[in-house]
Parts: sequence; C-alpha cells; structure tokens
Amino acid sequence: MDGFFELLLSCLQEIATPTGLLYVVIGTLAGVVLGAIPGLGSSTLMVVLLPISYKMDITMAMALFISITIGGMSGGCIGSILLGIPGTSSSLCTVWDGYAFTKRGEPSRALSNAVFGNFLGNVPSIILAIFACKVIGTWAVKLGPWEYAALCFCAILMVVGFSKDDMVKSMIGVGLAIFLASVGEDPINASGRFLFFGRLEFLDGFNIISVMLGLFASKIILLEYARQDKTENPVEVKVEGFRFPVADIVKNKFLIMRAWFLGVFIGFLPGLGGPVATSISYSMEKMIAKDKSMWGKGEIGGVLACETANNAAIGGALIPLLALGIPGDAACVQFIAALNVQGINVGPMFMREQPEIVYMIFIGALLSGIVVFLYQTLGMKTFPALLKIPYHFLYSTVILLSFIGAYMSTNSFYGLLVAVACCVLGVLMDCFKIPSLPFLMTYILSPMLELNIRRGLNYSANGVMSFFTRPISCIFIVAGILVTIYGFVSPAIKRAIAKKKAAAKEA
Amino acid sequence: MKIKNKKDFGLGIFCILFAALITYLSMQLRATGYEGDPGPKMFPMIGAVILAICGISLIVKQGEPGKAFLTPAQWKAAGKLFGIYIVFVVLFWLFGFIFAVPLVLFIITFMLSGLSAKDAGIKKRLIISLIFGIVGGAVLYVAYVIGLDAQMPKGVLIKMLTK
Repeated sequence: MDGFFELLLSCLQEIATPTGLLYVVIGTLAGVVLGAIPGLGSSTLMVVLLPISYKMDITMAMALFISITIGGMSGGCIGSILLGIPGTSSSLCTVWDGYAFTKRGEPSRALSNAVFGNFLGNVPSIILAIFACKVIGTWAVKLGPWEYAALCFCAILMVVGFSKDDMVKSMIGVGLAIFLASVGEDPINASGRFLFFGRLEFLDGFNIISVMLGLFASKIILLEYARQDKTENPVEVKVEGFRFPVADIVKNKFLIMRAWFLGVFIGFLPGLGGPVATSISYSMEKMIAKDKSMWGKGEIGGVLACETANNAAIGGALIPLLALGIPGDAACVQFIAALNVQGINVGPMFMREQPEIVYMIFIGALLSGIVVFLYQTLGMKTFPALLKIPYHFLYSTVILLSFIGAYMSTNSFYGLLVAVACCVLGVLMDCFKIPSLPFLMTYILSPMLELNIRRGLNYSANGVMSFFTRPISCIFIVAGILVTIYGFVSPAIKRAIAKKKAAAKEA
Repeated sequence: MKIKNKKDFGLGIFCILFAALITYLSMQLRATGYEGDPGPKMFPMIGAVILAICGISLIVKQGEPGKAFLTPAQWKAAGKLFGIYIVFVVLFWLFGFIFAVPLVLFIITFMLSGLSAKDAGIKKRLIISLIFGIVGGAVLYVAYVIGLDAQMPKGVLIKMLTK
C-alpha cells in the first residue's frame, strides 16, 4: 500500500501546480456553465475538446476532462431549479421538486441543498473508486481474451437490457455499430475491410472523434435549431447566497446515504449512469417516504436524493472504466476516446501500465469536486447569469469547433465528411427512435470485442466452447444473456401486472 | 401484411436489406489462414445477423405510431442549417480556414440569433453577428493555427490564385 499512497501523493504534487490547478478550475467552471444550460451539456464540450487533447499533456488532459464531467453533473441542477428545465438528463427529476422552491420564492434553499448533495455524492464516491479500482485492477490482469471478450459482450448487452428504450431498436444500434466499427483494418492481420470505392481513407475506419462530433454536437444543435425552442429564457429569479442546510441534511441523513449507495451501484453498471440513478433514487425515496404529500410539489428530500445519486454515479462509473476499460456511460466513452487520441488503449492492463494517468484522473476528480463546491457556495448569486448566455454565440461556436475538430482528428477532409455523415446518421437515429448509447458503447467496445473473440478462438482448441468452460467468462456471458432476456420480458410482465391491478380495481 | 406503423415497417425493411448488403460484402473478404481464426468476415456477419433479426421483428411487431419527429417546417429548418454545414465543407475546401470559418460563423450566428435574440432588430443582429464572425474567426485562427500549430487547409482556390 506504500507505493499506492506515494503514487497518489505524486499525482497530487503534479496537479497542485499553477498549470494543473488552472486546468481543473477552468474545466470545472466550463462544465458547470454548460451543465446549467439546457440542451448542450458538458459532454458536448468534451467532444469538442477531444481533437485538441492530443496537443496537451495526457495527465493534464485527463484532469481537464474529469473536471468538465464533475462540473457538468453538478451544474445540471441550476437549470432544473431556476428554469424548470433540466440542464442535463441526470437532473431531470430535480425539476419536480427543485423548481417548486423557485416558484414559491425559495430558490436558495433548493440550490444550497443541491450543491451540498452534489458534494456529498461525488467526493466520497471517488474515494471509494480509488480503492475499488486498486482491488479490481489487481484481479483484472489475470483475465485472458475469453474473459475480456465476455466482459465486453456483457457490457453491451447490459446497456441494451437495462435501457428504457425499445430493445429491438437498441439492438439495431448495436448491429449498425458493429458494421461501422468493422470498416478499416482487420485487427488480426491488418488487411483492409470494406474499403468503399477502393478509397484508402477507409483503412483507418471511422474515427471515434468524428463520429462523436457528428452524433453529439452537430446533431444536437441542428435539432435544437429545427425545433426552434431556444428563445430567450426570462430568468428574473433573485438568488441569495449559499446557506448551509444543516436542518435539511440532518433530517435527510439516511435518505442521502441510500441515494449515495444506489448512485454508486447504478453508476458501476454499464450504460445506466446518472439519469437512471436519479430516477430510481427519486422513485424509491418517494415510495418509502412517510409523508408523500409534498413530493413533486417542493420536497427537499427529492432534490437531495436526485443530486446525491447522480453525482455518486460518477465514482461508480469510474470503477469499471479505469479497472477494466468498460465505459459506464457516454462521458466514459469520451474518456476512452481521449485516451485513444493519446495512443493509450484502455483495458485490464491500464491500471498496471499507466497508474499515473489513472490516479491523476482520481486526484483531478477530487479537486474538481472541491472546486465546484467552492464555486457553487461562494458564487451562488451568479447562477441566474449563467442561464442568460446568448445561445446564438454559444451554438455557432460549438458547430465551428466541431467541424474544425473533425478535420483535425484525421488532418484531412475525410474526418470532416465522416462528422457530417454522422450528423445525418444521428438525426435519422433520433427520427427512428434508435438510442445512441447502445450504438456508441458498441462502437467503442467493438475493436476489443472482436480482437478478443478471435484471439480466444485462436488460442484454444475447444473453439466457441472455450468461452463457456472458463468460469468467469461463462458468468459474464450468462449475465449478459439474462439481462437481455429481462429487457425483453419485463415490459410484458409490467403490462400483465398493470392489467391485473386494473381488473382488481374494477372488481 | 398490415402496415400499422410505416416508420417501423420501413426501418425493418431497411435493416433486412442492409444486413443482406453486409453479408454480401463480408463474403468477399478473404480468410486470414490462422488456425482457429474465423477470419475478418465473422464480426460484420454478427452485425448483419443482429440487423436481420431486428428487421424481421420490427416488421412482424410494429410499435404504435407516435407523434411526428419533426413537423414539415422543422424539417425545413433542419435542412437549412444542414445546408450551412455543407456550405462550410465546400468553403473550407475551396477557400480554406481563414475565409470559411469567419464567414460561416457569421452566417450561423445570424441564423440562430433569429431565435434567441429576435427582439433585437435585424440590423443590430446583422452587425453583432458580423463582428462576432470576424472576432471569433480571428480567435479560432490564433488558438488553432498559431497556438496548437494545427495544419488547416489553405483552400484549393486560394492556392491556385496565389501560385
């Protein structure tokens, strides 16, 4: 354990320099601003910054990205409480009770609780992740290609199975992603695959940065413009300073603990992340509350449950990402893309081979958690101003940054054309209600999945059976299949229960 | 067969056709020759099988037709902004970073200001967008080309004219 604490300390020394702290502070504040503004979210900023991250020092780039994530998650509550429009999908449930406080002239109380909930959610979850990653990372190096392929398989199926969206459409996203990820070099013998029109540009496949710039930034702004709902927000709310919510925290101490555990656990499961953590935490707390009369009309427990759970999910999501290379949510996919830009492949060996990067992410996250808390407590009066940033300047800049970034990602027009094509693909996916997370998750995991399936088949004489004769691999495969079956069956069960209840009511 | 949801039915047909295309293209790929290796066609074929199954499933069990994704006017607006994206690609190629970025930044800012700053008069929006386009373009040039030393296109037309 001595080396472990020394490493943590050396990362802290590296980041506690003027440059390092500047990255953390700027990343956190930028994340809060974009998290607060409904529509964009901090993930857009991360995607836009991906192409230029290769010019940065890798450890600093990671500190910047984690700061944006923490800031974005914490900033989401501002739009929810002051406007009644969630800044991010993770703060959707915060609207139900948080906005009621603003309507009755108490925005500061809701904001103070949300800010404190954010802090209680993220900092302890990151401390837990530091120790959990160390344990899982030691075990992960023992995994062979069979286990790793099974893990990727399980992660993809969990995203699909736990998705609230249509299962068939989620699977269409998986199928499309598998095909698109197959374009380019074969991972075993490096021969070209699907080089359309004989163009050698396709040998590099579709760069993940261009894909994300098209699927996220360009598409989001295109649809926001099409729906024409970005009119000026009349934010005329007066927010007083932060007031330490002692009474509310003491009253809801067990609620906070439950929300935290739930957030960490849900964050740990691939594909669920903050939005699911908040909705389950909110529903659970509402269900077990003795007095339900104020829930949805301005119950402070509702704000605390949501904001603690969504921030705790960050630490939970970092565990499989850093220990196993399995992304927990869209932000984690961007982390993998940022590491790929720097030539680092995230996998079970990541913790052993690049521990300084892993611990820099943790230290960056902890510092960012503190910075965001300080900003949100000291600068609470500035929150309404964040929501008045003119959309036309922000959105036009994001579009241009996306396209310049797409060009930079390949240093050719190929990257730019891929981003434009992915923008069309993103719009069509939205139109046909094909969720983007299963697509993205599969796209990022496909190279590892294919490589390990083929290595597993190559190294073993038992063929496909070798994936089932190894216990860990078998457990992951069975778990993935069970979750998929659950995803297909659960709507039918829910319908049957609802029917039974309705029939009982009638009787 | 009854078509309950045209969108789902169309998507189902597309998935089946696309799966057939992937299968055809995959069959053209050569095996690696390594023992036990299923070759480069295995993985895309998995994608094709998933798409085919989903396509059939969508045709057989179509969902309830929902609300329109975008109204015709919204599609028109989306097309307009997408047209600007295409214009940017063309301008970027023809005239390079220096001309394309400020110009498109100005156009998009002006278009979007019609939504978020519509109370301001058209002349004011035009002037502010123009200033933002020029200043923003200059800032991006300094940040990317000078600061990050990124190789940005100079434009094929500009190159021809300056030769």
